[in-house]
Amino acid sequence: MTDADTSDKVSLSPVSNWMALIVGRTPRSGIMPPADVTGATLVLVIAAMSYLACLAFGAMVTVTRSANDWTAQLEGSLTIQVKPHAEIATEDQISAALAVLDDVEGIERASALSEEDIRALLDPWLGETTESEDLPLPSLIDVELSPGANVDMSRLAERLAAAAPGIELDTHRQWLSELLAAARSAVWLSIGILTLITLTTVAIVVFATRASLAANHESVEVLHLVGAPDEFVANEVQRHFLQLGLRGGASGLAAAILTFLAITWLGSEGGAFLLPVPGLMLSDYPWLLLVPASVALTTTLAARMTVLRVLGRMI
Amino acid sequence: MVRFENVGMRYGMGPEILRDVSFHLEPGSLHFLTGPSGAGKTSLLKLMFLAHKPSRGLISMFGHDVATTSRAELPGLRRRIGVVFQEFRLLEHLTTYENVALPLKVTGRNESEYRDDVEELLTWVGLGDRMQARPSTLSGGEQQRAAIARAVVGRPALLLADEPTGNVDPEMGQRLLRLFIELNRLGTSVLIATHDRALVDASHAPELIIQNGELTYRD
Repeated sequence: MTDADTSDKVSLSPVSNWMALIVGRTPRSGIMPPADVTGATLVLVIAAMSYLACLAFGAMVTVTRSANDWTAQLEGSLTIQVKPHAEIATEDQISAALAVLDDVEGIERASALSEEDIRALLDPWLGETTESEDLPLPSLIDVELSPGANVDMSRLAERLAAAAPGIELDTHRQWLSELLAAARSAVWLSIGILTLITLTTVAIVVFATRASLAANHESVEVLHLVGAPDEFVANEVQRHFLQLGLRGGASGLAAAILTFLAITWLGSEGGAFLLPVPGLMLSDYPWLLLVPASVALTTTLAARMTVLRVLGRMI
Repeated sequence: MVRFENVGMRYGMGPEILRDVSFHLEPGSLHFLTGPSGAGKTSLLKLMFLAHKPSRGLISMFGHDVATTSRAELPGLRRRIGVVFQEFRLLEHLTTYENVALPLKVTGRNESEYRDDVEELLTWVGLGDRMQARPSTLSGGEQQRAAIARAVVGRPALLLADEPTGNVDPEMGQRLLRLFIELNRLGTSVLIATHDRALVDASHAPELIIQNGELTYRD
């Protein structure tokens, strides 16, 4: 057996094998020394960052879509509440309200809910109990507006109140505006988290690149002295970090997809930690690919800029 | 080709290692650089292979004033200089072939363009059967020849060798000297830093003698 044969034999422990698998250690991956355990650690850190970024991004997509759905559903509808009143029968109150609505332009449909419908609305909150039959419940009129209708809501509320006592118009607008404000806050929070993750990733990669250059100072200096331009060294280093970024990003994405699938499954089982959001839809998943792509790009650029800055200080 | 005028050099705020060094190397010349250990031979070579800047004076390499040469032009100048480092400086994670091919690879050339040249050179220096070996598995003499092959593979105009026989026996030293003389006959300017008197006496080449940071010339 020649020395060359023995030199190519590498004895790895199970842990080293595992690390080598993660960082994709290959004997001739480039001119710079192959990734070591530091590279594996960096892959794990990038995977964690990518996972958190996927969660924040997924939450942003879900909340934005839910807010749009709520807006679309509620903007075209009104509810009129008819409270029991001592001076007038409920049927007369409903008739008076329907008469007013019939007179208003832009209303597509208006119909009073049956008592069964109203109790069905309460079932999720009170359960299927006969005790609710004794409760004095207001009657409800469901109103559907024509698409693009411009109804003067304050005028309509005044006319309904004047038609009979105990009639109130609920436009859902206050509830909707509060819900949308909460959704907007959640989106901004997600953007803030994504920004923090990006900055943290950049800081970690800059630190790792500097450490890598310090550890491989001999290789960098020899490359320098045999006439390698800065671009050549930067390309070698950035290729190494691109590989780490892609591996970390893909690992984080895989973990995030499993998490979203679990949330969707828990949601369908009715136990999603009281989350009002339905989880990601199938059409949302391709957007998550943006996260590992951005992570890999950020990692590569941060490494490249760091190398060029460090080399710039050498003669 | 190489011109030094009143060059001084110091490391940081330390004392001057080289003082008022002036000399001129013609194309195709062969010189020795001699002097006791610590006299400044390696420092002078560092200035010549553009690893350090002088603290004063003028250095002109291939007609370029080093002080006014931009960073972007330096790699081009370095490729015209082959260096044999005293401690070889072969990259341990690369094979002997990859180490020797390094100066050609960094130019961005395709490997198919230079593979035959590198293999021929390795065979010529007696390392034809050691191309895939890592430097740590090579003997001192083999590492020395690999380092020399790397220095000359790009057909440099100037070859600088720092104590090239410091780690080999006298017989190998003489063989390496014949190699340098052969390269010099092919047109490469050669400067060999050594304190091996036998090597200097055997070649009858002119000497640059450095002592206490000052340079004198002996023809």
